[in-house]
Amino acid sequence: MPEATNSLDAELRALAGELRAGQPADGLVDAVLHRIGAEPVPGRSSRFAQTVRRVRGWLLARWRSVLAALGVLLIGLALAPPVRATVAEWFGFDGVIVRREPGSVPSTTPAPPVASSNLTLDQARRLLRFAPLVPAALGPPSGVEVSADRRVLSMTWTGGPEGTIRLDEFDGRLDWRFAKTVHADVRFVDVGGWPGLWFPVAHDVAWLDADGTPHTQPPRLAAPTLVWEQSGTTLRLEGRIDLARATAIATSVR
Amino acid sequence: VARVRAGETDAYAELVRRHAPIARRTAVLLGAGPDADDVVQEGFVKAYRALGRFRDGAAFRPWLLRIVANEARNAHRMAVRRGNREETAALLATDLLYRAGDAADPVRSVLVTDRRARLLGAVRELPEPFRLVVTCRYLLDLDEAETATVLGWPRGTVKSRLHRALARLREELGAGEVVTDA
Repeated sequence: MPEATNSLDAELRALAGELRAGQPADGLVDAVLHRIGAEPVPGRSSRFAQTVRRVRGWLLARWRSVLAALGVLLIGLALAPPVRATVAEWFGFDGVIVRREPGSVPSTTPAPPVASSNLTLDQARRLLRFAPLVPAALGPPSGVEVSADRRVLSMTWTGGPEGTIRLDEFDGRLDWRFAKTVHADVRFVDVGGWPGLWFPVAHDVAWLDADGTPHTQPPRLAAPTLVWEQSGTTLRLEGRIDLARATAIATSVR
Repeated sequence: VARVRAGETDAYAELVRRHAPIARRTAVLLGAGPDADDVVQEGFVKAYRALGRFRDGAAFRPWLLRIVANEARNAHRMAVRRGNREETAALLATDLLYRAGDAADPVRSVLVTDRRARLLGAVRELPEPFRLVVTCRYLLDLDEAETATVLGWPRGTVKSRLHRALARLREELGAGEVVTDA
């Protein structure tokens, strides 16, 4: 087969040539013109607005290096809630706020709370407003829960050698977020190409509403946790596991 | 774009006509599946509404494709939620086979098709950032700067992720080869 000697590069190009995506729909132009017909002519936004957007885009795209530069400075500051929210978003983490406080690391590592087993994954899928992601590495969950507002999916796996493993996920573009308070190091990690945060030791975790006030549940002490963002969904994996195991589970999510 | 902003709707019709094929290809390859037509239409409407934010002198194509790509990914997520993922995958594979099937030499055509299908399968199995960068650079034939705009990543990230994606593909396909030959 002559293709065997070709480079991957050439094969990908050949593949591109053979993929047919079909023709645009016949009525496309008319449909678009019809829909925009009643709308005002788009003006040009102000120079200032454009600059703000560019700076924001630049920061979003480079949040890791920006963080490396600013990290030391920011971590020491007690930021007001609205500012904290902005900072979290700038760093590409929709839905997660990390606050560092002086204090000692909790000496015990709790097991994550177990989700009830009243729901099947399929039932949860129908309830949720986003597509759930499930790690292949753990198999089917033993417990599945959906929050009352149908925005958070929680799954747990019990009975493994590591004890309970818990995965919470939600649409990261929502208004409220997880707030984590830590007294120790947090590591920025790569989860299969997605940005992630690793909390190696026990820490407090709470939910915040859009205005920064704590959600219904009180803060609780959490086991080591990996938080990452994947195609708009924010995921939070918790258990008495190390980073290597957490990453292996996280990268098996489909 | 300047003419559209000056109120010439016909100028926008021209932009739609010119960019519709690449917009459709983007929608299909990023997983919009049967919703591709809707995604393209929605993309053009949203692009029109967002024209105020278009920066003078920037390229229109990658800017538009970024909007289409976001729409396509949303459509894909919705389809997965409805449980249609398998259907979407099947659609692409059938398309591919159909095209390669009309080659002059049927035996060779089957071999080539098989190989292409395997490569496409490997691309689809990549983690999302890798899949996106390979799709943009190769399957949509965008250059590095355009890819950076479409995906909203710095150019350095495009470069390094593409490099890692290709290494991973080589690994996957190499492993497959041994099994086939044995």
